Amino acid sequence: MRDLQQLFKSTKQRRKDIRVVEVLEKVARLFKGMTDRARIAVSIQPLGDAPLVAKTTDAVLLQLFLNLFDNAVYWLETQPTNKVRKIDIVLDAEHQQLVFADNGPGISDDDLPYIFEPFYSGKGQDGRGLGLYIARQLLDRHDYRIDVAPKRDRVLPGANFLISFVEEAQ
Amino acid sequence: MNLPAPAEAVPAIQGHFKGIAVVIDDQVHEENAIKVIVKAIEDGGGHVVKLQDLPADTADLENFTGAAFFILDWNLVELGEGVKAPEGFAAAEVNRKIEFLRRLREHRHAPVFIFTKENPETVRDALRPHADIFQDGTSNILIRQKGDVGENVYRVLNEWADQLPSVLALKSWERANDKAVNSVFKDLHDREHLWPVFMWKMFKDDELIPADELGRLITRLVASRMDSLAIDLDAFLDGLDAQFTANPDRYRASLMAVLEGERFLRKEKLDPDNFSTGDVFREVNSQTNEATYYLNLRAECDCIKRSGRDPGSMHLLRGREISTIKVDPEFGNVQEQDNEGIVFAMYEGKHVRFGFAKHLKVQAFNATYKANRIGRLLPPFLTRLLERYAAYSHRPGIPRVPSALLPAQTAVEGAGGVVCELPEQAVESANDAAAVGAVAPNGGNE
Repeated sequence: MRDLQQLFKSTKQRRKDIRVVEVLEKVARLFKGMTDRARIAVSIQPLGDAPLVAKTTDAVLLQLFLNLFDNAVYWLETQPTNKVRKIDIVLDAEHQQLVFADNGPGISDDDLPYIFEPFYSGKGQDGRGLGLYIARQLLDRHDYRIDVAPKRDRVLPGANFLISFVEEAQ
Repeated sequence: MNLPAPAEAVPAIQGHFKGIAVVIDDQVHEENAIKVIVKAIEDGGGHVVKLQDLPADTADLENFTGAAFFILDWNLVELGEGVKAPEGFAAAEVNRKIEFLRRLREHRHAPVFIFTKENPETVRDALRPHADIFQDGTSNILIRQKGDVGENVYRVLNEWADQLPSVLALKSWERANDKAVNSVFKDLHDREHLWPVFMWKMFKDDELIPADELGRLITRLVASRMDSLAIDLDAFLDGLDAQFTANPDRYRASLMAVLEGERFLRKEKLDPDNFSTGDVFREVNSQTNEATYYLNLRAECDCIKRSGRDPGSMHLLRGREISTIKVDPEFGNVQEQDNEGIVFAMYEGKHVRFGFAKHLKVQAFNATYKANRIGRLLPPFLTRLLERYAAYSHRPGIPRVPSALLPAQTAVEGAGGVVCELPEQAVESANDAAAVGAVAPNGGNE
């Protein structure tokens, strides 16, 4: 419950234009020890020359990417060690979106409808089922969105999440 | 051994923690709480090495061997207000710190001061499952909230150390040792800066391993210059009594473990490819489950691999575990026959009796014996056993006591076997004749 309370705690940070890649690179650095140990290759690929910019707070983006990296590393570590493990993140400034993908086991059809629900986790006892829920709630507060990526936007064969920084109509 | 150092041994502000402090804190250059601590160390005369993160997994921690103590911020990653570390990441961060503490212990068993912004109990909970690095109240790790320490860092550290005999012993020994090491090297350097090369040549000429011999020489010279430690542990004695009263079995087990550490070096600390005097091997009979021990008595110089030659064989004395021993109540020594050497609490709380056989087992240090080696008996326990064996193997034969002089009185069992009480009259007669002979407890030649 503390996670949920924390989620709805107001922060003093004000929204501002943030280059998404900068926060992403910071989180990739934080996870470097874990990804190195698990032999996971991380690739951050911005498309085009213009940077992807989101009007939000550092805290929101930080929490979003921390949770996505954490999930991806967990599932990739369940994969055989002889398999090449990858996290690819594609930033598309033109369409104001980002795809966060890994080549882990992916999301089963059974889990698909529930992965953004609170306390639903496919990790069994290892998970509390709040990571993706928190990610969606935080983005919702800024009228942004996270979903499982549709087929056309998939980057890798495992779990693919599409984060849209286009503000949804109120 | 020289006289104890005067009271100046402990400086006024730094106390036991004179030297270099290593501070590991991502905010070491920014956050006020840690800056106050760093300033207090520097104002006290210490020097601070500032690191913003833990050394890499591959970093050589031998570089920390000179540090007097460590300050580690438990919250090494500042995510910012309202951001919570996800569970996998948080667990990995805790593991990273635990692995560092574990690796550090192998290189530098110095006090580690962990600061946290959280409740210190959270840190204790994370460390408790790792008993090899942390035990409540007895390990070399102190955990405090960062804000509670501030400029009192030396006072807090010293108050804590005063409660921990192992930290007190370490710090006082380090001071004496550092002084002795400096004295040895300064003295020899002043005589001749090439002194290690002179010694090296001598060892090579003797076909010894010069690096080993040089190390032994320096160790001997340092030991000869060590002052008595500036330490008094009398205050802890009452606590020891209380522990015995509370749980005698646990107390005895702990004492046995300490005694083993005093006299026996387990195989993990030995070079797996070389043997030495005092090496102990253990074979267990799979049917009877009975253990047989072998102790290598061969002289150290014969156990050394010399250039182009094998080191030769070991000379092994056989031993067995014994469950009952006789102890001299006055001096606290184990009572032994002339034909045996007993090592009290040698290994895993077991006492081992080595019988002084006429023939030693001559054995190569082969794969089986490498696998069976359990450790090495250390001086003075080894020295005593060797001397007793040497005395036994070269004992002079002396005539037995004539049976006509043996009394009919009751034999009294004593320290070295059966002691016969001679009739007063016979002793007086013998004195008169100035012809009293020694009575060998074991009856002469054997």
